[in-house]
Amino acid sequence: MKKKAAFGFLLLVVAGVATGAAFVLSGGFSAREQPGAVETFFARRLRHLAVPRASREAKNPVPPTPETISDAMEHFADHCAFCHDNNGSGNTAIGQGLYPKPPDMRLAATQELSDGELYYIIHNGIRFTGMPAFGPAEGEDLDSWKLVHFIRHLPAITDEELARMKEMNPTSPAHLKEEEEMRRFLEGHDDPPSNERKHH
Amino acid sequence: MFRKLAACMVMALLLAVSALAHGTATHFMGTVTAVDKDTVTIKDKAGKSVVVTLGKATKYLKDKKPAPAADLKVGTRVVIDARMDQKTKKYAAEEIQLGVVETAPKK
Repeated sequence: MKKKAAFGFLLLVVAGVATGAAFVLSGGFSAREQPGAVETFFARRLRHLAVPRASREAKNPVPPTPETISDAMEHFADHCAFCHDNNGSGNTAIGQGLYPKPPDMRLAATQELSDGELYYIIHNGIRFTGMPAFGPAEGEDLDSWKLVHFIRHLPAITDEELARMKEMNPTSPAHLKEEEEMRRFLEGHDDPPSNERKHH
Repeated sequence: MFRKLAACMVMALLLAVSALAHGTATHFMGTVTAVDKDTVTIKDKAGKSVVVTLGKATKYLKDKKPAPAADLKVGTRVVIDARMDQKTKKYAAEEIQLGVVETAPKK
């Protein structure tokens, strides 16, 4: 009896090690993959359940005026776009390198969340993802409520607005130099310093 | 204050992550030597010919404002923001900034 139990335990250990090895060898720790349908389903359900009901049903205290959208747009371009992209698609080098990838916020999976849920996610972040908590530990922050309005605006964002946002995105001195070189080249100056630049 | 600090920390983290990542986005600077419905060919400073595919999602800008695709003509100086399509192994243009048009493309 003891021998059978020991054999069964050994079998379990071997199976566990084999499963772990297969997971690691198949790129199990890589962030390149997309979560599967089952993982996505359970993660979204858990996220939904993790938001307190009162927070889910909270109403946005900020009116959706053009000034609100403009403020939030500037904020989004400065704080959020490097992962989410200016248009909310999530199609950035950093965003596509995360696991899970940032969602395309123009689509139903995001747009169907309540205002309260969106606010809660921005304010508190989501553990085990790249989404940090942007709000203070205590108290409400109106900036996150403004961002909720901007997220609602994303499906209808215009090319003109995106061009404005591009100028608001954070940039480094090297990037500024590169932009200047491109501008001079486009204007007809004959000193393009290089032909092709990879950027991360 | 907290928000700025948090943003800085996130930025530092993400820049560190991005430095390790192999980005596939690329800028091409050159002068258009050929253009058709699906592709644009440019000659870069080194004289190398580069073909980039065009698509519905390709955006055209002139002086940072949206411009019609028809403005992409032979002789136009362009900066192309392209991304390698992992399926076709070809560069696909995401955004094309249009500059001055040279009277004769540089050889």
